Amino acid sequence: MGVPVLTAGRHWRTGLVVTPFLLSCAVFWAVYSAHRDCLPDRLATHFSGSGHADGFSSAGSLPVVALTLLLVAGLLFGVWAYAIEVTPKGWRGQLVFAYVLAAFLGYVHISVVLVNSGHENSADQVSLSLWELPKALGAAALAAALGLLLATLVAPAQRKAAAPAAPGPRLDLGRDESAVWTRTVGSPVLRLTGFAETVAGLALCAAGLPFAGVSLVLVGALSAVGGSGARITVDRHGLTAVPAWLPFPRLHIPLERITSAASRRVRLLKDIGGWGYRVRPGQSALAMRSGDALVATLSTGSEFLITVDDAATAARLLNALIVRDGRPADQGG
Amino acid sequence: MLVRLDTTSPVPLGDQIAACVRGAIAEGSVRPGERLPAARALARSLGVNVHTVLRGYQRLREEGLIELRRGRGAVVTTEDTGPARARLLAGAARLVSEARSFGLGDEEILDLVRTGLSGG
Repeated sequence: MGVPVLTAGRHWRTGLVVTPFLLSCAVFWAVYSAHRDCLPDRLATHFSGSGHADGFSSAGSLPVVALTLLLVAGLLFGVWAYAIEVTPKGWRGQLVFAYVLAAFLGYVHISVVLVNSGHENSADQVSLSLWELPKALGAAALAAALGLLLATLVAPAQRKAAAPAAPGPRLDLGRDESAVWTRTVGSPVLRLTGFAETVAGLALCAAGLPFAGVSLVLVGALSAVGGSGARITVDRHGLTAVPAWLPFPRLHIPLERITSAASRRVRLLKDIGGWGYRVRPGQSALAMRSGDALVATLSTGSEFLITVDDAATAARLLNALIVRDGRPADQGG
Repeated sequence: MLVRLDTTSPVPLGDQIAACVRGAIAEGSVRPGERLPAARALARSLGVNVHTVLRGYQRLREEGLIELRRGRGAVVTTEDTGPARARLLAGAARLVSEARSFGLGDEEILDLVRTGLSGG
């Protein structure tokens, strides 16, 4: 059955990845409801190596913990499946991982309900057989097989291959010439937000809320550093972006991974979706403001976008460096 | 700011770097108060010795276009006249190179400028 029967876009993929967590929740809830009357007020929830209960929690907290855990895990997997384009191999891994995790978490919590069931008076005598662990792993393996089967039947719909980017004109760069283009770009919005957050954080500290205050100051300082500017450099090594006042974090795309470059005007909210480092299917972007942006098309087919003034010169230099590297940036012209 | 170096040119590499930075200040793509890239980073990008870049920066400092401070690196001078001064210096450099390519010696170039001054 090497051939997938169906292809799934990201909505369907998200559904398939979230399903095992919802199923686990449903099964857990069904088992819990059925045994609710036979459960002690204090449930045995932790067991020593010999299988005897050595940790307890209230009967009401178990479903809250179990359902929250499953739903949060499901949500994270859902966001992962929705936001990030996957390769067929990555899709298989994602699906199998989701099924295994959902089955394991579900099994463990259900078995806690089952072993406590029938000990209405006291949970002290509850014990968990060591066989539960291999059984939990067995359930996970079964779920893995199910996930693998699904991944074989349903392939991720591949994004239509982007039309080859119209290569921008390139700088006339001689064999004996070396060149570098570098420019700083800042974000007044991020700077202002950072400043406002820092002031609010200090106010919270003064008002006697040190934890919230310090967290806000840290976030504010981070935005302020990010917004105070980044230095973008194009040279024989490729494309690099670093904060203007710190040597890290450093974002670097090697020249061999770039197939062509161009400049275009972008609107922050409409085209990219906000400030900062943004990852979307087929595009990652370092966005500080609306306006001129340098767009590098990568060998994977996706593009990397960075907002910076005079991006046209940067694109022309990148194209020239790519051609000198022995690769044609513009086929046929 | 675009920095280009031609290794076959008779112009020293440090002077070529200075000319590019001067041009960037003149046209405003590097603003007053802005920090220039660290000499080490620029040297790595261009594949030259860090002292070559520092020679270029030193020359710009002598021209009053940038300030070199320990720990802060090279910063474009915040004086309002900076860009105009850079344009003037770039013009002078152009005059010299054009006159030289014309076959004029140093004295003859100075005479040329003196004639221009007496005429104005």
